[in-house]
Amino acid sequence: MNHYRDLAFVIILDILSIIWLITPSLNSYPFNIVPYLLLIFILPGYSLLAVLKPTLNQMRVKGRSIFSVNLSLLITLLIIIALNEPPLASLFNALAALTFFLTIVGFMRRRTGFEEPDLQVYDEEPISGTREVYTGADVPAGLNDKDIAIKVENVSMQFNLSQEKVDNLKEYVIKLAKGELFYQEFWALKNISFYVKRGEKMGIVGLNGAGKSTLLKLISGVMKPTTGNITVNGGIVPLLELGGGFDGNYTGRENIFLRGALLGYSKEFMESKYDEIVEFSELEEFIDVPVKNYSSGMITRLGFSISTIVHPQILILDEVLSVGDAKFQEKSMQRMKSFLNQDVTVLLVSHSAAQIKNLCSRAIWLDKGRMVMMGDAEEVADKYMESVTRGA
Amino acid sequence: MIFGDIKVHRFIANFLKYRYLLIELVKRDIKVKYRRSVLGIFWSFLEPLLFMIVLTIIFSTLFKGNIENYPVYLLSGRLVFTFYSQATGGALGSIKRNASIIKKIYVPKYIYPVSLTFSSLVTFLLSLIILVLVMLATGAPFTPYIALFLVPTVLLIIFNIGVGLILATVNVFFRDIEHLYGVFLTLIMYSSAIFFPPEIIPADFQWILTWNPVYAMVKLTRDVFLYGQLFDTFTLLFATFAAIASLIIGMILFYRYQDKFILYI
Repeated sequence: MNHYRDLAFVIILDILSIIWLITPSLNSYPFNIVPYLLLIFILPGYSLLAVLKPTLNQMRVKGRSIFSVNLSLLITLLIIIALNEPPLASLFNALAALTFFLTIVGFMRRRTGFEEPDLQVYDEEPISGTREVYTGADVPAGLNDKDIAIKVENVSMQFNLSQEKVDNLKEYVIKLAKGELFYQEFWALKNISFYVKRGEKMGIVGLNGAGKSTLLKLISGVMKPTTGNITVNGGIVPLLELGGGFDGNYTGRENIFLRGALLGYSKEFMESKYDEIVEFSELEEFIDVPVKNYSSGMITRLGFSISTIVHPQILILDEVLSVGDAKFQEKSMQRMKSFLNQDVTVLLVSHSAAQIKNLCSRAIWLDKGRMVMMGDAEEVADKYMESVTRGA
Repeated sequence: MIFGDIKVHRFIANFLKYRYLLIELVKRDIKVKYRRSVLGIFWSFLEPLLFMIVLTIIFSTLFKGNIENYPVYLLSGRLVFTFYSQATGGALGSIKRNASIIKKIYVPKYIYPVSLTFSSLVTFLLSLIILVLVMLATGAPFTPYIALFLVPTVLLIIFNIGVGLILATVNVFFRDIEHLYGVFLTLIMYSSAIFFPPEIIPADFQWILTWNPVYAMVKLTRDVFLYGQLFDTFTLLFATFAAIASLIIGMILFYRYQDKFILYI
């Protein structure tokens, strides 16, 4: 329905502008600037936005909306040209040419057809060595919302895998004309549902590309799912790719405060924790050196020390239990263990079945974006290892 | 339709939580800009002063008699334009520059473009000190109207945030804007009558000045510092309208597309 509203909006403003222009008392400088601005910039701009919108909305809109908006744009511009005034003539003509082109493109797109993405694509593919696909995640009746830390309901995430990113207008128009802009779609996650109780340790296993990191990014709020709902109860500390995200020109000290602010901590709080962070990261000597001169081990140490300074309510771990050298690993493992013993909710991603068995009570197995299995950590890890060794 | 979907209460709560981040980002912008220069932050005093001296030498001979107190005329115009160009030009690439963090940690994304407005505001306020010094040096009259400088300042803040949000959003999807905007800024500069009197623009093209929001801001600032008079009603209304309109459009655009940023950066 959206494009009908867009169309109506454009047409109503068209009519208003034209009425304005043909009313003698209003059509005099400087008042006639308003309808001109509307006709020259705002309406074509709005229409163009409507044309671009399908891209921005995950390319879901059918060719028809593009066609109808362009048609209205064409009509607008034909009327403007009829009311033409010399100084603006060339502008109008240029815009009319553009509109005409876009309309033709819209026509072609409509002819070739523009199908809704096929949601069932992965369901038809057999997954090697698995049981039936797990879908539902109904919360047991005894639990109320307070006891649930993370609830994921029917979450799907779609990416547009067009080979190169289209980020300039020329390419956009060329691709649009060739009709190859919207085709490569890829579902990184399909209909994932589960819940994590407060204090529970949940593991996520799966091969590369199974969608584990995407799921963690969705839960930590960095990305929004294409469809579905994610509810999170409590403060999250994400430990994703610890090394990145520091400002290279900033010293270690400055980066500590910057990262603290990024995690939403106040300056006073960071000042009180500053010594502890520096001590834990063992970077006393280098704390006033710009981070760009740090080794990668030093950077991850710093990242780990800052991120774990607060005992979080929900901790998200993406393959970060191997930070730094052996000595630091031992230390970070200690700290992680202290979290695990407490009432902290943990989501842990790992390739290692042993780690999952050790640290988690429940686990999820993802494969190609779908949930294969959910249940007791031991059982899931065993089945996962079994399928991996059988596949290999 | 584009309107709707802006949740105010969550917005304010979020803003309060991340105000330290805003302060840190403003600090970083300023620190990084002057890092490794010997004079550091003093450049925000020196640079407009030197600029003014150079242009005064060049243009006071050209437009002699046309403009009373050319140094103040020039400086007030340039301060406003620099504020605008720094804030919006910086906001333009802010999402891209902070991509590595946006991909990892959730923070409200508008904070990146908005921080640029505030770091430029610091430079702007520091440069106002220079303006007052130059006024003293040239014996310009100080009128009570000078207290009204808050009006153009606040309008500029709103306008810059709005334009910054628009540019930051569009630039994520179309990088071409980055190159185009430099040219556009030059256009704005020449159509804001910063170092020449507005009268030299032919009558046929005066409308460019009339409908240029940056020039409206310049004019308001000059009313306060140079002419010591109350604002012209039309200019004030137009500047307010431009500021609020740009903010609303910017917020709508940004909120609508911010969830898609991560797929493009």
